[in-house]
Amino acid sequence: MTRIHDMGGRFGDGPIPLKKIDGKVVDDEPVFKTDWHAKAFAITVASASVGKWSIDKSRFFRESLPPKDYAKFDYYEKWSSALINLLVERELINKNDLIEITKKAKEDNLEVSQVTDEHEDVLKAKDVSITLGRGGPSAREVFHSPKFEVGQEVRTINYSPNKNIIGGHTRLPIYARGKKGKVILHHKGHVLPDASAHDLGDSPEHLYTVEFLSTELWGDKDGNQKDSICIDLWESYLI
Amino acid sequence: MSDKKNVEHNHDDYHHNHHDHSLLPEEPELRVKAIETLLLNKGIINSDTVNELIDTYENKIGPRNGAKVVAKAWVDPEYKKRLLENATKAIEELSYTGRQGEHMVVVENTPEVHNVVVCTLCSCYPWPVLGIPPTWYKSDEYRSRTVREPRKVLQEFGLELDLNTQIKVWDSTSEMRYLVLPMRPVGTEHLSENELESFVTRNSMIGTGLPEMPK
Repeated sequence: MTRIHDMGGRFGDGPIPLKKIDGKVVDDEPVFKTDWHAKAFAITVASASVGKWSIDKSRFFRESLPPKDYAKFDYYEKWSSALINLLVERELINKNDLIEITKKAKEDNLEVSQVTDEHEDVLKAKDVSITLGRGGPSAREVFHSPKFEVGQEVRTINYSPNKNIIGGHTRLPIYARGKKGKVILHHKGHVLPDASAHDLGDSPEHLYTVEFLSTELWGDKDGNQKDSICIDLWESYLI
Repeated sequence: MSDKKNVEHNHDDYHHNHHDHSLLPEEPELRVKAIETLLLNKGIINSDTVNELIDTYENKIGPRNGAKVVAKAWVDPEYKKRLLENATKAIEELSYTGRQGEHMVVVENTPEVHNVVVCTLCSCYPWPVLGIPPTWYKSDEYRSRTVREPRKVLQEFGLELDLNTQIKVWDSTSEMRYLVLPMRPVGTEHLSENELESFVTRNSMIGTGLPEMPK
């Protein structure tokens, strides 16, 4: 089984939500459509400095929202809801805080107090540019030689690769499980999301891009028989 | 902490409550306002930082960065070679680095191959060169359909590809970030790098469009 976010190849979704004028795509959407989108984005990015969760953990919390919420929520509703769940899990806030702030919000009484004791790891405005510019590289040294080489045929495993956590995070999409493909790129060692999402360390593995023929994934189909899908996969996802 | 304990702890992780958000106001604008207020009062975030982050992605980091990379590759064969060999380093030459672009791969469109990028599992996208993804890129429709029926999806963008052209869909499942290098439009041989930049649309660098004559 999988979670609701793992939707590649799913049937039933309608047209891509594009703005069109006279049938032509118009790409003039503002970066943030509303102020609260911008705020949800910025408070999520800023909180990570104190919360110290990995990008994999934040993805896991988004995809772990109850499926009904995930399906219904706007993109930044997912972000802000997952952020709250992360902050509770990290014990940076507690349920009483949430109940109290909700009471104030409903009384239209949300006030920012004078903060005298900022968290020592709080992201400062002057550090934004350097922090973003540095990012969080996921490349890590791996001390064994790669099991596969470019050009080699491989097959993906046919179950969720996450062995430690039932229902845990993984990046092998269900549509590509148990499928045959060919290694086209080798990216050397990278943090394994299946571990990092659950505070189990980096556990780096060799990372490859594997190319799958469309016909292998979906059966015979119209179109060019060489059409393909390229997916980044960690060594333990492959046999 | 022993390994065993670690695993036990993390089995608990699975049972963690992923419903705490439901304690907050349901209306999204008020919910975000409540979270922001709470985090400011707890000293977890700083309001100047929030403004700085918004300003950065509204005004400083966006698809015009990627357009500069593409135009440079069009006019400078040596740069193009470096870009295709080690995109992260070549893009760093233009000072575009960091968050959500730590590990870049550039894939080149040719008459034989058309590349298109998606993230079926979430919304992975190369921020330093393209900024924050547009709504359609993050939509269920784009995420679910692009891997199965890319030709139909591209038709909705107004892109009819010849059946002889192979489509390669890149599903961004890792921290590798993909940027499409579109083909230089014919008849632009006389144009400068600066002039070419304005032909490079955001969608042409995702693979859902082609470069366009500027209006």
